[in-house]
Amino acid sequence: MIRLENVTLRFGDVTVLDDVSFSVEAGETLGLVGAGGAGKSVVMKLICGLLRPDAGRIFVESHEITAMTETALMEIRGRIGMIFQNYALFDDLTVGENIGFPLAQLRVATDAEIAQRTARRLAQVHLPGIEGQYPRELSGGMKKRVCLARATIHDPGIMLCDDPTAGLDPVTTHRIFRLLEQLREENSATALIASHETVFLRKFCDTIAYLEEGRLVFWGTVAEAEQSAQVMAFMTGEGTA
Amino acid sequence: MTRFFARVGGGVLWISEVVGELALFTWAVFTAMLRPQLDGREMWRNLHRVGVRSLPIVMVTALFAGGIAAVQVSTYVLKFRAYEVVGWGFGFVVFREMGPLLVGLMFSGRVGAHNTAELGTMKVTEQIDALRILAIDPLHYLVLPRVIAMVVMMTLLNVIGNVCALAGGMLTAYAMVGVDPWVFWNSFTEYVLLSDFWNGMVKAAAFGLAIGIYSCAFGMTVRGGAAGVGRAVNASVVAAATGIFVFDYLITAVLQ
Repeated sequence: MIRLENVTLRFGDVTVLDDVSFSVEAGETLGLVGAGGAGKSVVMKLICGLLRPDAGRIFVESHEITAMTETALMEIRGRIGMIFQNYALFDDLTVGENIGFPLAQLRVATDAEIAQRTARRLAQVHLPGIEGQYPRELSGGMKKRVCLARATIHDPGIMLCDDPTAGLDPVTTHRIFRLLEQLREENSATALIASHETVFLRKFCDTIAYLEEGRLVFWGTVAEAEQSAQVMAFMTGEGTA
Repeated sequence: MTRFFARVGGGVLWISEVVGELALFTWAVFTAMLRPQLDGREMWRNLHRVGVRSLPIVMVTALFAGGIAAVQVSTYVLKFRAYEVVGWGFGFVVFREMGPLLVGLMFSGRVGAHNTAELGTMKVTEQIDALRILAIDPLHYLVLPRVIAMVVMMTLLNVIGNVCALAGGMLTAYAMVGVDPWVFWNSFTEYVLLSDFWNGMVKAAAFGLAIGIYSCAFGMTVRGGAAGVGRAVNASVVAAATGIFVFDYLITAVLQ
């Protein structure tokens, strides 16, 4: 479960989130939509404690993380998997080391188990046998899939996906969403996906939250979103001049 | 007039902010050192990158610096026929000042700048955020191995730099003014004290610590993309060079 209560965040004089409240129940998937700069990535970073709100409260799996110490947050983060907009793969590690990194660092599996789980995850994302390659040798779509494999190697209960298909072709986009669906079901994970792929979000998500310049202007089920003229204007692109 | 005071005040505020951030970062590093959770692979990688890869440039620059110093003093050695004190003079200067300063400045330019650029790029490409999301403390995983590697390797490179500078001085003194290498060596071993050597070693360790902390602090606090990385590298090199001279002055004053 994830819950935001009246969350406000300012960067200097700029209010990037203004009194935002919504929740995602356990096992549910929420699609976060809005124009670039609306605050979608900021919401993701607040949920995993990379940013702290100026006002309001944030709950993750019944723990209030708003003012949690960095050490206490580590435990919560261990149950979160995040896909970054710009991959955030470690340049000096191979693909295999990148994927197995959380398990190796947290010492929750032996080297043999890590290698086995890495190989299985790579096969799931349709990239078998590339453990020895470096991120710089991969295409954008491949990096996204490696990022997806790393984010889910420790079977997280919460998945945060920040624009998981940004800059990808339609075939790879489709493939990424199918993988997300598969991995989400496998782990019964609660998921939050910020994306501009509104067609996929409508098929994939249980609820939709629509942000506009830092304010939450809609939060409801996909069926309700389809009834909202404001949300549909954005999702279909008809709201643009 | 108002604009002048506003600029001065703004400058003072900026310096206070940077000094405050550095102080907090230094405190965090020392606190983390009390309970270090080092990644062995990252530690070895940094020892190799910081030390082994700096070896050729340190050796070459120290050798030539020793030679240049010999060329500079050769006129006076001939004038005063002071062949017997050349070894002592070289040993004293190289151990106490030239060795640690030279290696420190080379180290700052090569290793410190690279370190800030690497950490800064990791920051702007969200790799440091990714570490935190994976429940790994960047201070333990990235900063501590770098700072420890810089202290250890700066100290070891100082020994090698000292040897190369002395060799350069000895060879040039022989070639330029005919100071017999045995005379040079005897003067060096007779008059140079062990305390001269340790004085330089303390300085080298302090310079390594300063370069390590400054380069990591500026890298970890980069803001503003590629341009921000460039600014951080510049600030890091300036801060490290200033830190080297300030530490040099303080240590010289205390250990004199």
